[in-house]
Amino acid sequence: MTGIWIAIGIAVVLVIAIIAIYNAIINRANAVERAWANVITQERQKNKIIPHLEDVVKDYKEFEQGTLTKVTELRSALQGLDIGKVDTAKLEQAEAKTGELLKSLNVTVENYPELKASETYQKLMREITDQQENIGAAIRIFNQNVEDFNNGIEVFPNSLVNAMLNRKEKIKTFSDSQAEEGFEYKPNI
Amino acid sequence: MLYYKNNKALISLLKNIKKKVSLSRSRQELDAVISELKFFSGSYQLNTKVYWIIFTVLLLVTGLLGYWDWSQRQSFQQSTWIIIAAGGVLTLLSGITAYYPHHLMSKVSHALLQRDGLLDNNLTPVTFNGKTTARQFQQRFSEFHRGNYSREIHELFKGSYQGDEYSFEYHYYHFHYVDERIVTDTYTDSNGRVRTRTRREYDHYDRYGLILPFGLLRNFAVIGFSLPGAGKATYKPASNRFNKVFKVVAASEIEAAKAMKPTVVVAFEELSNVLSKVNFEVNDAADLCLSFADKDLIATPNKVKISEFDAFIEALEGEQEFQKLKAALSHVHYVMTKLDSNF
Repeated sequence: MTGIWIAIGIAVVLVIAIIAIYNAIINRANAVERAWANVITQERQKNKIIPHLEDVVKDYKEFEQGTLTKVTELRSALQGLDIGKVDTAKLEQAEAKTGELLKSLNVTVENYPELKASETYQKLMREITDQQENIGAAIRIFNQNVEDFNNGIEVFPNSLVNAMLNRKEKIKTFSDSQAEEGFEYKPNI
Repeated sequence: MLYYKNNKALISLLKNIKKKVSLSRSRQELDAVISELKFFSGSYQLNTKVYWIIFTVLLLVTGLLGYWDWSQRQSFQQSTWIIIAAGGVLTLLSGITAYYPHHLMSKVSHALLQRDGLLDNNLTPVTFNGKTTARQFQQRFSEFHRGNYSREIHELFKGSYQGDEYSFEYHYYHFHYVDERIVTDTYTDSNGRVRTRTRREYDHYDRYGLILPFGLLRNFAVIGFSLPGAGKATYKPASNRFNKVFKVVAASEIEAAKAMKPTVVVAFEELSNVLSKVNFEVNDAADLCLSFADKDLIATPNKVKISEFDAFIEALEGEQEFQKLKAALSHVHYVMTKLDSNF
């Protein structure tokens, strides 16, 4: 009789452990999705900046032509981002387009010292820098959560539970040195 | 005490400096104390070898005598007791005589470096009443609603921080609180009956922190250590790492989400690697109390003593950096810049 109770006890503990591992994997997968959604939300904040940028450059013809093409390309890259689907390739594309636009802005503005010195332009550049920092930080959070998730499905016995029940696949972290450079906060220690 | 002439002069100088350091408030006052030290004509080395030798000999002689007498008759004679007692007192006195000057030198060296470090970091001591100040802080921040028995501020310094975008004045404090609890013990009395008795026990705790005008938020807290009276988390950022350490309590979810931008979230993650049990509490007057358990924020990192005179003076003349204090202040500044929107 005692043997049966011990067997039942072990079975109950096992079932509880499996449920806990299963739920932990789901939680970590959800955390990755949230972090991804956060990255995309930050990326889409650029849509708020673009009209300001267009306003600033509209009086400078030479400036306008080159920059507007880059703005259009960036807008289309931002539209390609899906909040519900982790797609690091598209994110990389949007970041590349942002990089190109900023590079073009920096080169062209040298020809317009009065524009470069204007308060509106300075504010705009600060806001862009701020946004790029937020995107960098959001990517860092996404990568941390992906690392947690990947560890959560690879270590034993989680790997066993995942193979039988969750069937989640390892997620690739996002690596883009330019985007990561955007986040400049370093502690003093 | 019978120290050598140089020892005597040096000890007298150290005692004098100890008094003056505790009274110095400004760089000029501290420089005057350091000059006094520099103009000492004797050696900065203490010579206590003789006292250590006397101490060792007395210890050995008393010990051996006691051992010899015990091994003869398994007890001490009355005369041996007297010798052991006298030997013990003399050993103790010679030990203290040998140890005291070194202890004094360590204390004075540390006091000088500590005061210099405070001045290097623009920190000046504030005159305050410990219990009254704790009560005043308690009215402003939940952080001070700790300790059911007593609450007291032990240290208070005023400082200023100059950042790229913001500059602010702050207070650094050391808060000590005591919890009283009643403990019930069970024991068996002389009649074999089981009885209980109660006694009061006191647990002492310390917290440290910075208080400053923040301005950009109100009624907002990032809590890494229990905060009395704080409700449930109102917002959970996307970061697993942040959520493991902190919870965010604000007036509304939208307000919390606005404040907890990714850069701010990561900055808090980094802060938790530098400081432990961190609370970031902004009250309804928009004042910030950044509290933590680390006691070494304003502790001098130098361990050099006056006896290594050149190195000691070099340490005093150089800029001492309180790394953790700098990290805490730059964190506050960073969060300020991130919450201040450009548009």
